Amino acid sequence: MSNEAAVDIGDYKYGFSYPDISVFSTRKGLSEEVVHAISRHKQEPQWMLDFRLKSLAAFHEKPMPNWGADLTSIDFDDITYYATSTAKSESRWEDLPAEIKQTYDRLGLPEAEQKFLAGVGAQYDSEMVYHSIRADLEAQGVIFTSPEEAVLKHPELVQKYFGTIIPHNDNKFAALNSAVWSGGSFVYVPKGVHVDIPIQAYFRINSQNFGQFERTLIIADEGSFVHYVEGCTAPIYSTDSLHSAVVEIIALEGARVRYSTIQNWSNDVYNLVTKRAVAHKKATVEWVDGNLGSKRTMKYPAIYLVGEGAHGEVLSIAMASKGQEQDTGGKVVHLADNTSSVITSKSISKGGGISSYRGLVKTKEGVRGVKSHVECDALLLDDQSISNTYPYMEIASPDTSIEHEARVSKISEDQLFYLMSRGLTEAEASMMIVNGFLDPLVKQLPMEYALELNRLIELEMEGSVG
Amino acid sequence: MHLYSGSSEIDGALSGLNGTGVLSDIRPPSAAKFKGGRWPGPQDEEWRRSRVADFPLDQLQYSLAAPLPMPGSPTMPDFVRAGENILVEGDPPVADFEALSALIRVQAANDQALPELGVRLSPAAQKAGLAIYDLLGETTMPGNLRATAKSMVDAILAKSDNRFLAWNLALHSPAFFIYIPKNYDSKAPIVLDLAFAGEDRVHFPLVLVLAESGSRATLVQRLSGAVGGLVNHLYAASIGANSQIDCHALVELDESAVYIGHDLSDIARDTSLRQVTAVLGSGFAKIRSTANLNGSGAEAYLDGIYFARDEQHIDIKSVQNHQTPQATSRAYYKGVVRDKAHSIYQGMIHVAPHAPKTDAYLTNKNMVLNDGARSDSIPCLEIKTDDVKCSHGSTTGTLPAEQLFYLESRGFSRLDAESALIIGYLDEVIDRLPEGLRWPIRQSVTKAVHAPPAT
Repeated sequence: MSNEAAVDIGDYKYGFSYPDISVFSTRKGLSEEVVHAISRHKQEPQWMLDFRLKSLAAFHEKPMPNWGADLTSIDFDDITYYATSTAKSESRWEDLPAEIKQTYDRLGLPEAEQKFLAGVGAQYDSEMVYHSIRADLEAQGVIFTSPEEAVLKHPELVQKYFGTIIPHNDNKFAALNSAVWSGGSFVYVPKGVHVDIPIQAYFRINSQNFGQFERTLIIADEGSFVHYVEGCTAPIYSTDSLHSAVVEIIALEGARVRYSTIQNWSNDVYNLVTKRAVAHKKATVEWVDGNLGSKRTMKYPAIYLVGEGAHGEVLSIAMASKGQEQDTGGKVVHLADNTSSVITSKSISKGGGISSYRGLVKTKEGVRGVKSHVECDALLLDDQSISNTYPYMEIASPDTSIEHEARVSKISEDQLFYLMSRGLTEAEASMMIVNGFLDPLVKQLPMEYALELNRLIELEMEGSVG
Repeated sequence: MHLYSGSSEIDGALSGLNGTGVLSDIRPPSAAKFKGGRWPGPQDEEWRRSRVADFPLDQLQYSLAAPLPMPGSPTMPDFVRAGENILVEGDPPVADFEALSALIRVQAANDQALPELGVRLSPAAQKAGLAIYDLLGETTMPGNLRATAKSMVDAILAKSDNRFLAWNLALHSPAFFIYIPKNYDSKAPIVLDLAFAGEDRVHFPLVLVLAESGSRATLVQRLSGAVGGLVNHLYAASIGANSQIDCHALVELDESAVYIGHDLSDIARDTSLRQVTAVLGSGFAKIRSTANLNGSGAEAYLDGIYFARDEQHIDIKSVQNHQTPQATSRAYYKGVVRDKAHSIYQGMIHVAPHAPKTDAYLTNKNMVLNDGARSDSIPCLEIKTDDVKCSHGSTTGTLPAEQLFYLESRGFSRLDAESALIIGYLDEVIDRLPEGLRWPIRQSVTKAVHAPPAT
């Protein structure tokens, strides 16, 4: 009954690229020289160079993970770790180089900028090329800039928080990022400020064999609110690319941070990301994570609930098609009383793709009043696809209420029959059912992302039924 | 009686055995696999939370078993008359049955042959063709059953993934083969009362079961004793089509004992296996129960209860392995953890690509009674085909405060209220045991709840 998905590469809307106009680029491979070159080019102070160098040492020491997706064909020596397209950030759309403007035209950025966005930092080959911050946000004291600029202009904030949530030697890929990070975002929201419009950034990998190591740090001061949206696209290449980002979030007392992502890297990208947040007293952190692309993704957004009354949520969608492995999930660690968490994961596998949920709920001894609910549902669209679930619950306290459930199934024949008997084709009916399956998560995304997500899934589903 | 030490004298033990026993052929390759392997460590996911290599495994000693009295031996007393309740002795009693098909009572590493030791079959069971063979001293076992026993252990050795399995196959003692013939039908259970005497000893009990098609039988294994020792237990069953087999294990070893238990059941089409494992003893237990569903219409129910207190460490893994279409399986494990104990439950439902129409469910429920106790729950799914119904659920909580208050306000002491609620909680699984076992298990749980924590 099922055919393989036939996505015509020629029709892939985002399958275009421009001749590489990188102005500065290190040679392939990783060494202390490369790290020095990156730091010099960014004119960093000594303390950041020191941080990079000790991270490089940690990277060499740390082993590759012996679990998760298959990472055996990554060749660390065959990657360029740094290239820029312009040497400085732009703050007005009009001043951007024409080629880059064209890229973002096709990605639909201008309309978004005009109508919805507060400020956009756009990434092209490892640097913040463009960002603009709306005047009223600047007036409120919100800082939204590249991490390079933050190192130079806000060193006290950076030194206070950078690398404290994800230490430089946390795992091999965080260590790599800590050594060669470039680009990303730095966001600081002052006390009591509510940022009403989502802040966004785009990423692209453009050169062949190019690594993306953006580093994002979001600090939400007491009582503030911010919604940060990250969406990625990349053109299709035949050799592997590595994307190893690090995202650190601190939500201080009473703050709320929501971080949404739709990841649609092309099928040659290794996407190995470390994302972690710390929520203080009565703070809330929400990760909304959509994983559609890449060859291998390993990503487990985590929340450490360190203050009383804190709340964490992870909403995760993963779609694995032929040749893909999505190994995703979420982690919540309850370190304080009266904390709560919800993890909802929905995954779809088709055409032999493998999607795995890997998650952790952990409570410290002595905490009181902890509630956690985890739900992972998986849909298998044909008999070659694979779904795995590896949830870990480690409970060391009696005053907890921990629930976990998981379901694996295929599209219900009854539901298909119902819809087809009312005039829909099998493909339309399947599409509707898959949309229904994902709906609770898609509802949480800003509208243009919900639309993009629906369009991307439609593209994936084409040809998978019939 | 010569004592051999740990893992280093395995060759000496093998030569001491001198090629005796039905399964003598499996010993050399098992010993070779044992010597070539290493103790499981933190890099092995299944053993990551149970650091068995921290025990002085190489310093424990064992001896080769003495032959057991078998049916027909002149030293055997008459088998218990029908109509009289049979209390299988113990503290608390092991079981209270109306009738037994067979009673196997073993005390390993003991010089004296006490009258009640040995293998006894009821006249009815004997007439129906039930047979039990001591694989170490056996001479009357028919050739076809010998061949079955050999192929069972060959298959286990070929797929063995840890050193303990190879160790057991190399040194198995005591070792039994239980033959349940075609269309055998009896509710009177076969009881194996394995009491391990001596201190600081390693024991390697091996129990093989062949249940032919159409059979209906109940098996109960109880393990006790083994002060300061290690019990490395292997149970394997091959169950033919259209059968219904109940198989239960009560782990009531001494609190200083280490228990490593592997049980594997191969289930043919249209057959149902019901299994309850109750872990109320031992200081450190690492158990893996596997049900291989090898025919359509096969059903496996793997259930268990565990009560961990003081510094007990109980690690249970259940595997529902669907290799054919249209099979059903359920796993239901409920546990309580208290004082400084640590319980781990690892569940796995594995559905092969050629096993559509699988219906599998797994549930784990845990109760943590105080700070310092810890419960880990890791229910996993590996599903390789789409036309399935597979889910799992896990909950962790504590004794409900309002219910405790209700009982205490009506005169229950705190401990009596706790044991009433805990037995009520565990009863959902205890009720799946045969009636003769329920009361003794409830007694054991009550005793454990009332036992003060070791300071």
